[in-house]
Amino acid sequence: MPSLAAFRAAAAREGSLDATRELEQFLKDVERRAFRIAEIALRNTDDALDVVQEAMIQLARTYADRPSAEWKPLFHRILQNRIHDYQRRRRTRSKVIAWWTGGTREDDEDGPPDPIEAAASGEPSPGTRLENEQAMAALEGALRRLPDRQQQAFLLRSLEGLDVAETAAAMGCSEGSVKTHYFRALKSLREQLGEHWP
Amino acid sequence: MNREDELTPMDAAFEQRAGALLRAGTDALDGRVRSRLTQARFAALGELERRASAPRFRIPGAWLPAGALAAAAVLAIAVWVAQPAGPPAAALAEVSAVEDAELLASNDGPELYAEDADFYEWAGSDDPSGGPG
Repeated sequence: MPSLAAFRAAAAREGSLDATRELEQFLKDVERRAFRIAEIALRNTDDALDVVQEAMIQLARTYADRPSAEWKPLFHRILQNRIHDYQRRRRTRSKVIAWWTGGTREDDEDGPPDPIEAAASGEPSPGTRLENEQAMAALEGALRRLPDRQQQAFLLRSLEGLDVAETAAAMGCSEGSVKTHYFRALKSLREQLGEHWP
Repeated sequence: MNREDELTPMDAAFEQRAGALLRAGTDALDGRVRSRLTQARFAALGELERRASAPRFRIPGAWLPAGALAAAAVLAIAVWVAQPAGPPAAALAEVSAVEDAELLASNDGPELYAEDADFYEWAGSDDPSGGPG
C-alpha cells in the first residue's frame, strides 16, 4: 500500500503534468494569432517570432500559477509590452543612424508590404485566393498605417476575439479608451479601404 | 461612447470580413514560422518544468544581508565564548603577585635582606661573572 507521502508526490506530479498540458494547449491555441499581431505591428517576421517566444516564456515563468482564464489577457499584455519595447528600440536606432549618416534614412521596414511576401500560401483556389490575397495585403497595409493603440485595439478584438474588458486589461487602459480606439480604427480602415476593398 | 450605438451595419459587415480574413491568414503561415512557433512553445514549457523542479524553499534576496549579519554575530559570540581565560602575561603577573605576598607573609623579616644586601644586589645584576662584595 503506497504511503501518504508517495500518494502526495504522485498527485503533485500529476497536477504538474496537468498544468503543463493546459498551458501547452493555451499556447498552441494562441500562438499563430499572436504571431500575426506581432508581425503586423513590427513588420518583421523574425522580430515577431522573438517577441512571441519572449511572451510565452514570461507567461510560463511568472503567471503559470494563475487561473487559466486569466492567461489570455495576461499573455497579450506581455506581448504588447514586448512589441512596444521593440518599436521603441527600433525608433531609437533609426534616430541614431539618421543622426550618424546626417540625413533621413529610408527605413525599408516602414515601406508598404510586399504583396508577394504578404500573400498567404493557403489552399490553391485561384480566383478566390487571389482576391483574398489582395484583400489581405490591402488590409495589412491599412492596419500598419494606423496609430499603435488603434492597431492594438482592432487586432485584439477582431483577430484575437477579446472582449472590451479583456482588451482593456491587455492594453493597460480603460474600457472607454478601448472603445474609442477601436471605433476610430474601424472608421479609419473603412476610409482607407473603402474603394479598394475587393 | 456606446460602441453598439455608433456602428453602422456597414461597419459591422466590414468588421466581420476583416476578422475572418485575418483569422484565415493565421492558417496560411509558412512551415518555417510554424516550426519556430513550436520551438517557442517548447521553450516556454521547458521553463515551466524547470520552475516546477526547482526547490520550493528559497531565501528571498532581500533577506541575504540580514542572514549574513546574523551569521557573523553568531560567529563573533562563539569566538568570544571559546576564548581562553586570560593571556599568559597576565597569568604570570598574577603568579608574581602571589609570590610577593608569600614572601611578605613569611617569617623572614626585612632585616634578613638587609644583612645580605650585597648578595642580593649581585644576584640581581646582569654580570654574574663578578662575585658579590
